[in-house]
Amino acid sequence: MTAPPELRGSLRRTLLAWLLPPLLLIVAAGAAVQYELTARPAVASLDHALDDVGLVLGQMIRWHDGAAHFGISPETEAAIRTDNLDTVYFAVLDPQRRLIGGDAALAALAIDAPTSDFVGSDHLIGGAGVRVVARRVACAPPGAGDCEVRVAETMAKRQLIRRQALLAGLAALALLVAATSACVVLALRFALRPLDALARQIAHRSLDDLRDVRVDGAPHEVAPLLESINRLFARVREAARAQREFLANAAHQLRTPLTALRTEAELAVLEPHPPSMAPTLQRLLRAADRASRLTHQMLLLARVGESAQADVSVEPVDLVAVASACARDWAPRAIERGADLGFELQPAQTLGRPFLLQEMLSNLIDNAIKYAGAKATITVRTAEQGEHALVEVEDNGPGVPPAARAPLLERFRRGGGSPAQGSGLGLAIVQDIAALHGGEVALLDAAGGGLRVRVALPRRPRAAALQPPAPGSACASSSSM
Amino acid sequence: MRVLLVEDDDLLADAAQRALHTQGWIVDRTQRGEPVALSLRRDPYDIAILDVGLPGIDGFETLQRVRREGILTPILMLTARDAVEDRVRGLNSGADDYLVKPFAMQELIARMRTLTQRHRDGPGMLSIGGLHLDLGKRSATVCGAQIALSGREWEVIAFLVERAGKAVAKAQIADSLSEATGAATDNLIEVYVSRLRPRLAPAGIVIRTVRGFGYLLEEAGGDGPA
Repeated sequence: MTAPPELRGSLRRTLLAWLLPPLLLIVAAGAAVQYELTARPAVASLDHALDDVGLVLGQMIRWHDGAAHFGISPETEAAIRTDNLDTVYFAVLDPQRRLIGGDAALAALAIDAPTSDFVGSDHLIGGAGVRVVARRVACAPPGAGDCEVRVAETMAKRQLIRRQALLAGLAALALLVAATSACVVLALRFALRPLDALARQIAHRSLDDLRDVRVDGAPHEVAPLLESINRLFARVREAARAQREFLANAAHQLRTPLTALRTEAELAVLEPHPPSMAPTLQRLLRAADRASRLTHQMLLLARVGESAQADVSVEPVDLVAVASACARDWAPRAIERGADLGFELQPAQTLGRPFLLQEMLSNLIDNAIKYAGAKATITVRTAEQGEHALVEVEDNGPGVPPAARAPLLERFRRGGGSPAQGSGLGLAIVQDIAALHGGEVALLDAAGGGLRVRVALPRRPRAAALQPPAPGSACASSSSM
Repeated sequence: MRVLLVEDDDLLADAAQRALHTQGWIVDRTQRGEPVALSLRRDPYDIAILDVGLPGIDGFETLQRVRREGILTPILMLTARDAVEDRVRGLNSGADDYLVKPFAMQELIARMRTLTQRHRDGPGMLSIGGLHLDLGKRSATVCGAQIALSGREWEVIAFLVERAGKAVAKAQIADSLSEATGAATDNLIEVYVSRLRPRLAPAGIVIRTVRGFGYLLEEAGGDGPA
């Protein structure tokens, strides 16, 4: 196995990194434009207001005696100069650019004679910035030149307008940034949902589940990824199938030579032989038996693996019928071994594969016969309890200490110090089949001190009608005994 | 008794041949299915053991050819496959019994005895140990002496003998009785069985109780508990 590749950031982060900075730039530019659009007309309208004053002042220039004269009443001058925020200046110049009325400081500013109606420009008076609007006024007879009226005010109103425009721009910017970011994040979350669903599906999948991954409503951009994953699953499925097939084939191929081996051993036991050979021959026979059982269980494992590839809980199964089939199969063998195999069968229904459940119960009965010792009493029970359909096999053998129970459910583990020869797969198969049906296996104390193995399967929903026990087919179990 | 063994695996065929010799039976062997029909018609075999997996025509095909020619020799099939469909297919093709590898030779021999016995008895006759049933006359003899049976006792014993060596559910017996002579309960079956037991004992026949399930009729041999 190679180390997992380093993760290079998240798709989400990459998208955010590519989306948000350009968005911020665009929003900032928009805000600047908005500021200009708000501030400029406002400032321009202030210039016009100054010019209006200039026009009024221009009306007050009179031409007589070959010279321009300017007269203004104190009330008018007071009205013109009144302003809440700014100091207002004005200056009236005759065609020779001599001051004939107003403020000398304003008249002293070097301003080119306005060529058009009026011209605005920024200057300083007494260290403070002022806005000056100069206007040409036709005050003399043609050829004598034009008078000039200058009106100026300090910048307080203009600064106020600019500040307000700037604030409005900034507020809009903040709002846009917040709204846009939220949209981007939401869009990402929504768009990446199929990927999250895919990740969840794969994370929660059981190891045996090699079916194709399906994501409902997956966009076509995810399709190549899904296809690749499913192609990979298909390859793994194929490999698993080949492995199961090999297992099944190997088990099949072993059966004929094993029968021969078993027969030879049986014959050797029956034929005259030196007494010293008897234990060896008995061991040989037992080993052949064990190998036979193992091949059967290998086949069974291959079948359980096959069933794990599909939903098994489709067929209603009457556990009484399953137990009855096992009774037919196991009663003769139990009698042969001197065990008392009994049944206490209450109605119990589940959903699943009858042949697998039969194999499961067969393994439990087989184990009980093998490990509970000669003359054992073994009882098979079926019942429904709450949401469970129960299958139980209880014996009065030596039992298993609680600490030694869990390992029994693993493959190739046997009860320690047990004289019997098991394959070590029996309870593991029981566990596999129970798990496949959504059930659980519990190893409990029997009333008589033996072992009670309880398999709790999901009960078949009540709505389904109870069916009479089907005529039991013979146990599809090993005939090796 | 003469046996035809059709098995392509030499190792198994050798072992089986020797095992059947121990019973004093004469065993002829072949590895292929094609000559089986001819052999069975020409020579008086008591039984044939037929492996499913043969080179050339397989066991099923061989079986069909044999039955098509009207040869009624009992045939026991052997297979390495235990799929239920295979079992059904074998029995439907006219096999008398079916054994899945790997099997115990004792079981093969026991089944061969049952099949040949049944074949010898002919249709309508059943026997096990010292018990003989004549299905046509509905009469039973134990060691040659006829025993008196009520109609229902006869039904029960015939049902059990027909399934000798197999566990039979009480409900199954009750159902078969109901068809013949009206409703019967599990308790009634228990009464019949307990009445039959002492009468069958002289014939070496025991009816064992399978607790909570039913009964199993067999010959009281050395293998079971007394």
